[in-house]
Amino acid sequence: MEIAYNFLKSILNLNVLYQFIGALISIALTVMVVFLKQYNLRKQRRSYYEGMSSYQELGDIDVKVDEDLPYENVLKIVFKWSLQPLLLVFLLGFIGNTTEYIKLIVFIIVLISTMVHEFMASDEYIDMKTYRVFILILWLISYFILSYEANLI
Amino acid sequence: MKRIEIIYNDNSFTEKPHVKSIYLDSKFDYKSNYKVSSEGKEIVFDSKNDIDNFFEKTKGLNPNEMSLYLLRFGYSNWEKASFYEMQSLKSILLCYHWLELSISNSEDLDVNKMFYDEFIVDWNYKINPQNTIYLLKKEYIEKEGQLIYLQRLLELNLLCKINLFIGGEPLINYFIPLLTPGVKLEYFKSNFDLHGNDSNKLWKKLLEDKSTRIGNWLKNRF
Repeated sequence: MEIAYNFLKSILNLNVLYQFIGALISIALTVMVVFLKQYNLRKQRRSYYEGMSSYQELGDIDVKVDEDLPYENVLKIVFKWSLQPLLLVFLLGFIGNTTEYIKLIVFIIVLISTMVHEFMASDEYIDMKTYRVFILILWLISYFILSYEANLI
Repeated sequence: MKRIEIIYNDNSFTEKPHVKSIYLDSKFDYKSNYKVSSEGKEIVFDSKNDIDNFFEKTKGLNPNEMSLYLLRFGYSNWEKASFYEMQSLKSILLCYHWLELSISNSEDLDVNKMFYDEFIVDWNYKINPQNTIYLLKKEYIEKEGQLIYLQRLLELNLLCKINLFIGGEPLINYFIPLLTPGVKLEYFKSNFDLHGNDSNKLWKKLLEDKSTRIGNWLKNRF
């Protein structure tokens, strides 16, 4: 019981939690920007259709704009942009302390996985539930690693 | 004599459907002429150069501008053609341009490869969004019981049908035309689809296929 409590205390840190909350807010900002851009495109398209002379062949303009430029699923966009803030948090968390070889290797692994996610994996696997759960577990494990590192001081 | 036929609905989706056809007849040889006929009106192109010139000049024109162009060049009996008829004239020229090589060289090229899951862009060289024709995938024609839904979408101005008579069995496919109206759910109702939900779902799936195909081309240039 005592051992479990000490172990749990060694992998939780409040400052690292604040960093992670900042990362989550940055993801929220990115998702908001993506939706605002789509909203703007839809507004432009709607005014273009309203100016066209062949008005009645367009049918109902709201339905048409919704078909042309649909809003994407929120969760899909959240998970698409979710690995890059993790990379930044790792960079901030690892730099402040003593440099060891293992830290450099972990950082390079996170960097390569971020690039693979951004360029290839996100298009193919983002709809699969296991991939999304995998990303969540990745965030959780990196929180534990960074907290352990911060608690060593 | 080979023929491309396009079947479309000439009335708006708010009225009763009136299904009409437009044909392009030719031998597709080196020196043959091309004849586009619809409802008693004809345009005859004496050679392949003539039809290619006409196609180049009318690229990107929307149907209203196209009827003005036809008036200027003396085809005055197309004056009373409706919006949908001019749109299918544009569509038949685009499909001719896309399929012409495969039809005239049937020993070397296979029409089936160009006829399903393809899109044809009507470039207008302006900032406005470019319109496309999207030919559906083969699976929608082959599945049992789908044809009645596709015919219903044709009556709502959302799809047109294309038939190819090039010797042997006629090839059939449907395509999403250049400009489709925004149709509310209540118009999708019919005898076999009481709430219109199935037809609406099929329409949304076709739109998703179209954007996937165009997205793949933009990403991979295939």
